[in-house]
Amino acid sequence: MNKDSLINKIYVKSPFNKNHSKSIFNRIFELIKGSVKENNFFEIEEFGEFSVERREMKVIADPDKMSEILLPPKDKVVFKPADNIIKSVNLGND
Amino acid sequence: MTKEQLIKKIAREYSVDEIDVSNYFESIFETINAAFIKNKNVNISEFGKFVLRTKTGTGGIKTKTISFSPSKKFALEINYNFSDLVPVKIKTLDEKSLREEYYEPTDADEVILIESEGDVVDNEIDEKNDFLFSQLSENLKSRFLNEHFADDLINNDTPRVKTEVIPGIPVGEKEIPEISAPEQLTREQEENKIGIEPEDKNISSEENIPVVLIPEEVINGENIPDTIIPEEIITEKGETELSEPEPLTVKSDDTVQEETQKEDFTTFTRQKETSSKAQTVFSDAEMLLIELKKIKEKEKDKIIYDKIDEEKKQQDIIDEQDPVPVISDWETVKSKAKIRTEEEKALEEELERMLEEREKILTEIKQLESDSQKIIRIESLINAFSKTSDDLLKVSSKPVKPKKEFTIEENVKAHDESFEDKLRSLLEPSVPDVSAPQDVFIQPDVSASQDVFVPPVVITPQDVSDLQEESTLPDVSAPPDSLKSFDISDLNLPQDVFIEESEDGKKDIENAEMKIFDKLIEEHFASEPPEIKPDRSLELLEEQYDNLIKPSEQEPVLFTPEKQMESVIPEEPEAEIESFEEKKEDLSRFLKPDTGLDSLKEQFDDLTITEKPDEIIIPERLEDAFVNIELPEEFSKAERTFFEKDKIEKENAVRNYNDIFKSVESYKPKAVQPAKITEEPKKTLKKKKSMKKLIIPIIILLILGVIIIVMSRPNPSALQDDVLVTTGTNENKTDANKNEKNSDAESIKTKDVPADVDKIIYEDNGVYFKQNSLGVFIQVGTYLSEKEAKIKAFLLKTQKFNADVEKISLGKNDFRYRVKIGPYPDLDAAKASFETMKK
Repeated sequence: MNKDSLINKIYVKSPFNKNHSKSIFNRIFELIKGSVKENNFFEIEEFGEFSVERREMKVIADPDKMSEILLPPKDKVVFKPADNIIKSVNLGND
Repeated sequence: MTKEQLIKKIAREYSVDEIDVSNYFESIFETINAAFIKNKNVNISEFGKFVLRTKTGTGGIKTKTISFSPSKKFALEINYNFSDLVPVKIKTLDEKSLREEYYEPTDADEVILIESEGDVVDNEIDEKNDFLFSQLSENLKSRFLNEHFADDLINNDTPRVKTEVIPGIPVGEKEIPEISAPEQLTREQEENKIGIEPEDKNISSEENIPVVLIPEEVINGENIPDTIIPEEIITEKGETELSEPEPLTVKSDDTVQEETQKEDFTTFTRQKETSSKAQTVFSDAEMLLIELKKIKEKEKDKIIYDKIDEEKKQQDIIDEQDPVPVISDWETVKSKAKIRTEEEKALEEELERMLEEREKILTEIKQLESDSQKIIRIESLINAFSKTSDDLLKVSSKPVKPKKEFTIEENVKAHDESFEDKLRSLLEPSVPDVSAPQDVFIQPDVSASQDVFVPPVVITPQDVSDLQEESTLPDVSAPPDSLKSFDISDLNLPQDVFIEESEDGKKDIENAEMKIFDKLIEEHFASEPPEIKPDRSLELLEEQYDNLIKPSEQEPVLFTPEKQMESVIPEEPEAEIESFEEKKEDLSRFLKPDTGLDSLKEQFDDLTITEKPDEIIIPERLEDAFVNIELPEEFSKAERTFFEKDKIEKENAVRNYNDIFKSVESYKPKAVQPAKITEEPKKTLKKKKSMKKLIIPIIILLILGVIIIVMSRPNPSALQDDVLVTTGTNENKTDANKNEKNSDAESIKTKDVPADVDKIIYEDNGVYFKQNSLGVFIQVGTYLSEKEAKIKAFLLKTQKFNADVEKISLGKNDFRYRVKIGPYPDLDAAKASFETMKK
């Protein structure tokens, strides 16, 4: 699903017009990004939580180049989906 | 920021109701959820991508999860702390090292490790440790050990003893209560995982107790605590909880073997964990090593730079000892250089002077040479004069003695000697030599006399150069002392000759000279001179040339037209040519080119005169000429046939050509026609005229006949029929349409009957009763189309009426079709049938 298609689906239900809804949509995600940057964490109920994890530096072997490489540390955004979502997604499998 | 804060902020920013915003917010994630349920990935630009992934869990159960990959911009914003760092290549690996360090051991490998009592891994790690730590400093070693092995190793130096201790149980107690280890795997499970069959299957669950390494001192030492300090159990949340003290019991001797096995296993697991930790430590250590290396390199660089500086300093010191010339010193050097240059200049000037002097000397030498020549001449003259004068004086008194004359050869020889010798030789009397070479001459003195033959003196440049080379004079520029001191007075010349300077004296001298030269010449020629043969080469050449030009009898005759003619035509004696005309004729005959045509013409003329042929055919073309050639008998058959074929073809070609020529001529306007030819066309003209006369009346008659026929044709019944057609067709059309499908109507045959054959007897409402030679007919109707007529006739026939169709022509392509019933014997019978038909 695309961003535009998502907005198209949402603004029909909402009291805002398309442009308005689009701008609000973008603003919401901007704020989520900001909060993740600031607090390294943001939780959306019944959807999931975004958090920042640090991957420590480590040495890996590159068998193609036959060399040992040292990877630098890295801060990574991690999304942990809510249980209800995972359940709903895996409903078909059950 | 929480969800509520976010909603409030947006509501404030956009001045919208919070409820609407919250609804909007929820609807966003609801739709995203719905997309996940539909197995759709969601891509939100400038934020990230939610991707559904399937994972195979334990027991091969597949579960779907959602992973989030942030957009590049978002990821960079998050990773701003380490965005500058780049992965670094530490070292290159061999295949062996790759396998050793990064080879993930399989179950089989683990089995081997256990069989070797877990020492292999330990040793390996230790070796690795040693290898790495050997390069590290002690401080670094301690630091890393404290950081990473603080929990596992109490002291690196203390020997480790593997003992099984139940946490929280006092050591002194012998009996240990059975405690289950819920978190750890059972031995059976472990063995199954590893693939080892347990040696003793009767191992109870109480054996699966976690093992803690305790230093030997703690166990064997005196300071054994009654109870082990309760361990800090770290929960998942990070909170520490103190476990309650539990009684410690030591196991019985029956289960020693099992315990040892258990110990091995636990140690192995522990070692594995430690190895994983160690690897991370090693990586850090290696990083530090790299840094250290860099530092060392820098230090090395520093050392090198220091060395360079020291060298520079040393150089400075050396320079101080041997200083470079100061500016003032440089000036002296420059001045020296200048001095040198001045010296050089002086030398150059001297050289130039020398060269100039040399040139001057050379010019002087040349002048001297010329002067010397003059002097030689003068001296020779003087010498001659002196001798002659002496002789003259002696002639009167004494008999003539053989004179000593100045010879040219001597003079030339004198050139080779020095100046003084030359002069002396000149002064001395010399014997004349007639055999002197003639090609060396001395220029005669014109002033002497014109009659006296004095051979010219020719001094070649070679002689001059030889003289220059051979002359031993050191300084040619400076004349020799002898010459400087030379004076004419030194010569023993008669004083009178030079003293008397008057005109008379001059004349006398001239006369004397003349006399002397005459005498000299006489004497010279008196002695028999060698006979010089005249050069006859030119004469010989001339003779040869003449011989070449003049034709000799023996020489071959050159090919010239005249000579050819002479050779062809016999020469006639000139005496026989009497008249001029004859000569002219002869000449013309000779001059004219002899061609074959002339001879042929002559022959022809002869023939004309003597034997006139019947007809002389001169072929216009060469081809025609070849046609008439009669082949000799010598030709073979094949050749004959070939020539005959050619003949025929050429004859044909000629004929064709002649025909064409004739045909062309026939088209030419004929001025006078022969009488015979004019008679025949007249007859034909007459015939034609008569035919015309006949044809015209015939045509007129035919036209008239046609007109009559046409005029006689018009029939009133036909006209009536036309009226009938218009009336009757409409009525019958309906009937005809009804029976269109009936194909039997076509079987009725039409009869071509002239229109004016029948006569109308009676009429009843458009139905005509006509009488004919056959009888009376009822004309039911007339139709334009034959088909309709036939259908009508057929219908009538079905009603048992004898109906027929008649075709009537009213003009070109104008036909009518009448339907008739009959014939009836009379009109009454016809009427009766008509009434029945009406019914």
